[in-house]
Amino acid sequence: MSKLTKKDIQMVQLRSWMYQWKSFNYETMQSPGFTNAIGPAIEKIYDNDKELVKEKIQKYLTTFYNTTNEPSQIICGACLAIEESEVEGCTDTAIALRTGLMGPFAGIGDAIFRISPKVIFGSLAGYMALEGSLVGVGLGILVLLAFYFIKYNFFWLGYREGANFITSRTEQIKNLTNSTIILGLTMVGTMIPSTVKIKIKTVFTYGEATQSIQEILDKIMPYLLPVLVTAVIYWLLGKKNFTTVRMVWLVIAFATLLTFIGVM
Amino acid sequence: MFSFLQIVLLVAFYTFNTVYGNYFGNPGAGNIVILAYVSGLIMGDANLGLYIGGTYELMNIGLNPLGGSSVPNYRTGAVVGTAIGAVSNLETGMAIGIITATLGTSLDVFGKTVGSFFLHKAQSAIGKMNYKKAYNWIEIGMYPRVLLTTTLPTLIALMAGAALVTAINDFIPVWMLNGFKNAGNMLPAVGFAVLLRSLQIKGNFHYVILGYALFAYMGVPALGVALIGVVFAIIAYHNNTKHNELASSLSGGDDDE
Repeated sequence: MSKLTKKDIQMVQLRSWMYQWKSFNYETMQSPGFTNAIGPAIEKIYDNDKELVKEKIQKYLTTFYNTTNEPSQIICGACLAIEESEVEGCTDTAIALRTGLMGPFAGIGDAIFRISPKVIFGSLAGYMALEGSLVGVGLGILVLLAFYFIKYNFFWLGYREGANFITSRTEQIKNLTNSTIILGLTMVGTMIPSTVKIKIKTVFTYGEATQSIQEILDKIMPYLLPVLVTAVIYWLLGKKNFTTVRMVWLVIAFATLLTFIGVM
Repeated sequence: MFSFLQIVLLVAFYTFNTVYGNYFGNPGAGNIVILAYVSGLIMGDANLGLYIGGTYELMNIGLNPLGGSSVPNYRTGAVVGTAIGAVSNLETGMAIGIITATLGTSLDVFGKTVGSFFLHKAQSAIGKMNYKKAYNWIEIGMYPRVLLTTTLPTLIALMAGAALVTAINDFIPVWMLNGFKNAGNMLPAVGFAVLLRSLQIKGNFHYVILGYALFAYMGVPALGVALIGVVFAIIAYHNNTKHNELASSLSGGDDDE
């Protein structure tokens, strides 16, 4: 029934795997890579109607698309299945699905595939490297391989089940995301005191007696300064015009100034 | 300062790493250490690479280029910082690495802006039903960003390496180098603040306190905290599932009446 061979579908999967950064741009973001993945399959399915092929491929290219790489495979698989149905106007259905899912998928996907592994395994890789060991890096590579496995299966999941899967599992996915966030936040709570290092050098001298400011701070609460500095940066980032990059420059300037006047 | 072979190896390895990552995906955790470690091997000082890579990996933890945004490029910083650190000293390498990483952000923005050119080329090729040509434009449209964020800045920094190090040794005072070092220790805070902004903190803030207390008062190492975090995550998952089942059975009961 289908005009595509198994090989054709596998080629869509391969191109979809590599889609993300092909001609990435601010207008339509990841649409070129997605079009490159699904386009040749559309040419083959509708090869008896040249105008229709052009219209379909142009739609995929000109519509904005941006999401996380791994769940994007589900979307690509589902869009391919929809195109294979050859229903009239199915490209509009496919693009509506793609547009509707990219937001939620990016939220869930970033939490599960980007933020959490980085917080947990990035800290292990970093600390173990500081101690001269590559074991943490090895764990990071294992996580990557696990993601490869998931990413591979996501495409076929989307292709087999189309949009059904996503609608039937919404609650489950939402719960999973929430749990990932809990793990991520716990790790951030640990990483702030263990990674951010700020010590005040200034010492007060009263005649013979000296009092170090850092000692006073430590008595109030351990790692008080790392916590405070993170809180201030968090607050500033909520202000208009404060981008991450500006924040980095500001911290460099601030730390250099404090070092210059001898506080740090 | 650097031999021709060293420059070629460093630039080739880093470019390969970026291209591979763009196509297939690099490890989200540990890639910066890999870059710095291999750069260290090329320069003959692998331990220096491990140290610089570990430091930058930690600074980079919270910084995720989500939704097409751009963040400091510590990958370039790791390669350049390790290379320069190996021929001068650790502090100089770290300082140049941090500056290279931060300057790299605007190059990323530029690279993504250039992408529009290839998008338009592909659109007009599709208009003429020349799909092969359109796909070719899309394919090569990946490389300007690779050149801008990876190949060119590394090449320039390494070629200017001698001048950079001399400039730093002659003109930059010790307090400024120490300032960069202190900034390096403070910079992970930016990453964590960004992270807290992107995770849903409302209603979940107590988990941050949990993580803090486990480390600050009880000295639990990172992996231990991760395990405790997993337990809480599983509990929350089960609770939410039960809650949903209960809610749906209640609303289902309403339908029957």
